[in-house]
Amino acid sequence: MFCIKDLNVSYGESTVISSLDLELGEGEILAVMGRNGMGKTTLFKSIIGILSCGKGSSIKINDCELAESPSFKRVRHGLAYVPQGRMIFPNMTVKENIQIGMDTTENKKIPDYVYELFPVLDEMGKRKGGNLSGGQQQQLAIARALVTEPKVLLLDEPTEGIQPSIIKEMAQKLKLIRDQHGISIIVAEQVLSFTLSACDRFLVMEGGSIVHSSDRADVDADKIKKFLSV
Amino acid sequence: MGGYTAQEIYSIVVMQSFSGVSLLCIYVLMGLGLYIIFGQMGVINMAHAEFLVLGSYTMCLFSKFITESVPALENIYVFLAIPLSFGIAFGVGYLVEWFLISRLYKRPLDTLLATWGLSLIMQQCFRTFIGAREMSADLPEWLLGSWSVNDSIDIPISGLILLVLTIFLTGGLVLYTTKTRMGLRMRATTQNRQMTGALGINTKMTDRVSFGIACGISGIAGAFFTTMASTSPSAGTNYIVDSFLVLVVGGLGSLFGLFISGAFLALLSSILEFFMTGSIAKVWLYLVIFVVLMKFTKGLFSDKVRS
Repeated sequence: MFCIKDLNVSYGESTVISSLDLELGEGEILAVMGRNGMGKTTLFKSIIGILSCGKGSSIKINDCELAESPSFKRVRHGLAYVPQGRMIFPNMTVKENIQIGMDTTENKKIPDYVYELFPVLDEMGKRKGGNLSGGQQQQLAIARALVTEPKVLLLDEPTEGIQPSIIKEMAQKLKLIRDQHGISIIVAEQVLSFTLSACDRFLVMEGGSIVHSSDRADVDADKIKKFLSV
Repeated sequence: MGGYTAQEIYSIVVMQSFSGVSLLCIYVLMGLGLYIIFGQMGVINMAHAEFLVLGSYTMCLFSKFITESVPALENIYVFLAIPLSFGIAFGVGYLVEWFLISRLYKRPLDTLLATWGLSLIMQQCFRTFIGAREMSADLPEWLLGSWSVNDSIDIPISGLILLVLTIFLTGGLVLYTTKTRMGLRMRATTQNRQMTGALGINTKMTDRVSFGIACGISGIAGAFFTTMASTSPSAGTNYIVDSFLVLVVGGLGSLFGLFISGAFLALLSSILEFFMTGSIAKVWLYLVIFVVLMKFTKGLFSDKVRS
């Protein structure tokens, strides 16, 4: 359904990701784990098109090649991105933040499922996005990505700066999103407990390559922990 | 004050206020364009005043064309000249964004220099292709008249129409930026270009249209500028600094602030200029602005958010 082959990404002379392959099945939740600076965010930015890929790289969604397309076309083909640090629009209201995500769809009204998933966004509809708490901003960023009606949702460190009780709730919401909408999800994370409760498959990145892969059935938490420890 | 009675001072203030209304409207219309380009897109467009002049020349040349070729439309051509001025300024602005500004986002000093150069190029183009001499539009009789409120107060019709147009355009821009998809795209793009692209929006197209609209509004200001004064290639330079000041005093992200600040500064300027020389009035005006910006560093009505 979603497939990356031979992905190369460089910042000038410095290669950050080299020859990376990745496949994602329909309705699958995949965790991409790794310490800081191992290339997780670069991977996501290159998938969504904020960073350009090197020659020969391929990013396909339902056999449609996206590696050369600008960001907005990738979104129209079914990719959605929730960046690290949320990047909600601080001077726009909560409602406007969600509406801007609906720009590529035919929807004129914010779908009910958004408020069912994140009731707090309904209560705070008129408040400026920049005035929400970190957890609320994270919910807003996910809602904004969801209303683009994606096939694949990229979540970059969704637990960053979020209190533990909300992290647990977020894991449940991810599974709910997958179950209700059939969306495949890739989560870049460092919090193992979160990925263990939400994800079906686990990859570990180091130095811009995938160094470990395991399914939920045979996941070795201690081994992943070793990769994550500094 | 100066031997005037209270009644005379009242009449002077009222009359000067009305004479300041046209100035207010030009400030606000210029400020509306700058609100988009500077306040939203973060581009310091030193050529913004030249789009006002472009609108003025459109009005002047169109009025000559109508007078010579279609005299039947002499009384109503102004209403055709407004969308024409908007359209031409929009088109030029769209191309300027495409070929110049789009390469300079996040490089404010380069933008400043490039748009200053553009301003000089546009002024020279006006001199070369239209002429260096001042030019006026042949305005219809009804636009030159005034409405007598009482014996001592006359309101110029052109000022009234300009005021209505300014309110209409300000309201229109508020609705555009808050209620339309294109307006939301513009605000999102200017807050975070990369993230907006990652939500499926063609940010390059949004930038071009936004810049074009801002220039188009300046073109409308220029069209009505001809009801106040004749135009020349460098006529806009008198207004560009004041327009930036209006925007900064009001608060960069606030249309309401722009309107209030425009009204305050235009009326204050108009009243001060009655009682003292133009240059001393300007000194007092800038002193007031200085004090306001010392107290409100982000302007009177800036947006306040946590992050």
